[in-house]
Amino acid sequence: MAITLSRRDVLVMGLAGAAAGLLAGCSSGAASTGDVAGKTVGAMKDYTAGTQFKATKPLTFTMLFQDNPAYPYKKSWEIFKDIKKMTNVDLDLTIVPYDDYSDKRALLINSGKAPTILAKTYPGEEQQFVGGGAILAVSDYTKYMPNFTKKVKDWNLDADLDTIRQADGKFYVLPGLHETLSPDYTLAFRTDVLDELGIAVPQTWDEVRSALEKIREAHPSSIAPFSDRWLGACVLNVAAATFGTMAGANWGISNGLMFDQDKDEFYYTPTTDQYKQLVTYFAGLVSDGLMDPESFTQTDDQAQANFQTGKTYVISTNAQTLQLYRTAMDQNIGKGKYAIAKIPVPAGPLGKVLAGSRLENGIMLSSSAAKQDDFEALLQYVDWQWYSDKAQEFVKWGPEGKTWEKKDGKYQLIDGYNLKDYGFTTPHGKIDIREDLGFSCGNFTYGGTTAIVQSTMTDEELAWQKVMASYKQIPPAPAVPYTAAERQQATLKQTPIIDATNTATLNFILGKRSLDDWDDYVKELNDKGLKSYVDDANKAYQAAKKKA
Amino acid sequence: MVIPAPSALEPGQVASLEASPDLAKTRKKGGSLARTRGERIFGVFNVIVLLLAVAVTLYPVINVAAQSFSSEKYIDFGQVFVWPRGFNIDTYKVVAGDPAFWIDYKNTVVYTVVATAISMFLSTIYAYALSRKELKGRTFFVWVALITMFYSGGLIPQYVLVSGLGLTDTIWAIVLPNAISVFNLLVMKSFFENMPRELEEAAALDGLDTYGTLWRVVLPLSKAVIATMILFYAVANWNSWFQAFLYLDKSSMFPVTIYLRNLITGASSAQTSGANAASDLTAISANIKAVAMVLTMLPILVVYPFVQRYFVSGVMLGSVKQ
Repeated sequence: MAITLSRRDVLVMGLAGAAAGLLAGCSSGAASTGDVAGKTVGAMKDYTAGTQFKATKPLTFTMLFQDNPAYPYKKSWEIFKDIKKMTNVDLDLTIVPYDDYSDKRALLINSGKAPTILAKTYPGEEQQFVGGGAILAVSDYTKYMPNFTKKVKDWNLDADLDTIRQADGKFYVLPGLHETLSPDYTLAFRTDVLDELGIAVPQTWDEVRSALEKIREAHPSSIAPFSDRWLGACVLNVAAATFGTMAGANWGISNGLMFDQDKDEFYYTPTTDQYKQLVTYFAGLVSDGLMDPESFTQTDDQAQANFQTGKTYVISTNAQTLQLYRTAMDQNIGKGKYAIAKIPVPAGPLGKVLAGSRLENGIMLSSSAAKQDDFEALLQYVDWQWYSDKAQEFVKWGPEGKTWEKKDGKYQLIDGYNLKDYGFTTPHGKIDIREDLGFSCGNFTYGGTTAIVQSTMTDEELAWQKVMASYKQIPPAPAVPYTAAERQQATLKQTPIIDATNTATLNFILGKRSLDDWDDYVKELNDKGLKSYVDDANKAYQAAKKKA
Repeated sequence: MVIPAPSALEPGQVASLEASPDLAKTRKKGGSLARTRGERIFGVFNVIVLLLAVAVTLYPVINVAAQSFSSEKYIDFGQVFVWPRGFNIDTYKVVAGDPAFWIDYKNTVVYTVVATAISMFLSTIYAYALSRKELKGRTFFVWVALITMFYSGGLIPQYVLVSGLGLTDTIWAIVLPNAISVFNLLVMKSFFENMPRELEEAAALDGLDTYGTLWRVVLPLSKAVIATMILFYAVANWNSWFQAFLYLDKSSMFPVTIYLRNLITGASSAQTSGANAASDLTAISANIKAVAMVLTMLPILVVYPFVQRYFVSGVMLGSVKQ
């Protein structure tokens, strides 16, 4: 607020500094050659997939670390000591509170002060930094990353990687890689109430509706049987795929663009009949008193409290929140006096389909890394730490033989340790491998083989995954290959269009706006430049196609 | 603002300061019997509005305090209002047993004390100099301060500056950049301006130089404004988290507000990652949040009554005959 006498200096120095940072960033971006010659300090000569990486001399890498309040960072965590022992690498961490992570990351990158390794970056989040040049075009260097390239080849992930390529054909984030698609979000139902009323577990959205009707009939209350969390965006996102569209503010709506394989062009999905059908379905739930209109505005705490105290019967969930509901309901309602479960994602007009990418959040590297003389060792370390099976096992479960062992092909904790958040305990399990030792934490654990991904799942969740595996998977839509300048333009146009779409969607669902107004809604979007937004996307796509 | 209580009290505080002299004046003028009907209605209206203000500011504080002593179950059912239900102090033991909480707590105390001391020193000498009408270039120096109320360098330039000066990850990044609050500066300046010049002239006659006058005459007579400013600065520093979030990288240096913020907002944010991301969501129970809030606002709350006795006007009544 008030640096006084030096305020003008601040302004001048600040601008100069920002300009310098920008210039430095640009030059390093342009110098990205895909070569590590002369930067081999500490690197292993014969590093291949499956080799244990160990730097030939002690190295220190800086890293941005997201601190999760459920298992707050401790300097004493064993995971860092073990990493040092195995790889000869010290991680110098910048600790950032959970909710402010993306802000601080943007600040550090834009001011040219970013650490080398930037953890927990979702594909798509890197786009805003591509133009500035401060982020490494890491696809130039994947040849030094044998574990990464092997997984991409073995698991057939090239099409997935294409979804994150920018206009220059490169990608800037190293995503977490999944061997198989593992969906997580769906609806949780009070299954004891379903049983009591003799209702089968709903398999389609129509059955969800009729189940809600029967529940409301049997348990009339001032509050609708379905009161949702995540501002209703999660359920819209889950349902959208089965209706053949994308929806959910900040969840699934993304840029609103889907790709038509037949016409070979992008189109804006929230103006399609599919989207209208989806909105009509949820508007019906709300107007008939089956879904709480508060679902779209209330806090998660409020929605959870409703469900956990037995006032409502349906809520969105993932595997972990399901456990959290149970913990609360054991206390509130009493163990054995209720039952809840994830239902298979209900089928929509498209049938049993599943959309999603096998790419997860991953890491970015600062372009300044390419100038370090230990650059090759950094690439090898990142490859080992985030993409080798051995390391993925280690970051999830700890050192084999100490905290866990394999029994009948299953990961089992050794007595004395537990992993409470996933429901794993042992008779004398006093040490939580997550809270006390730093394993199974979000900064290191992304993706992996199906065996590793499913190793922390409960039997119930495994059964659910098995059902979901039978669903038809929709191939991921390609990213629009904008150039940096085009992207800026597109973002300027996109923001008001998406905002207007979300507002109108909410008004339609809440009944504040009649669905007869649909044509007016489409016209409003056109007035906001929808046509040129879609045209620009297709132009960028055609241009990139010509180049390739 | 992280902690609603102390800052929320400020409007009430200010309002009561303004209101009471008015009421007193009315009484003095005509005595209570002679108050007109309009004045009486106004008085009643005043009391009602102020009571509402008190209720609105006090209820959240009491509610959080009640939650901190309640068991999770009753909070979930929404049954905790002003009185704890399912009384327990286990949550206090849990929070108090977390060493990170106390490390951050200590940091906050240190930052608040150091930052307030620096702010008070700088604001006082700046305001005193500005209050002298004979100061050359006075308008310029006033504008140097004022302009920062309207224009700021922007987040990234500020970060580049602070980090360029090598202040990041030190206490100085917290206590220096916002050392002078222009609002506080102007309040002090006008307080000093209203001080009778005759007192200073008398001091000069008795042989005191400028600094002696400031130290021995002006400051002792300015306890009211100094106490107020200390309170303003201390509350602002105690509540501040943004500076720490920007400039600190090591969790061992975080103030308790970051700890609290991480606990409260971190727990309620959802990943916006689509259907297949491995969830890294968190849930912190409501009474843990409440306990952390109570412990965090307690010290600053306790300080208020002690400082309040300086909120009196008229310390200098009768010091000069004009």
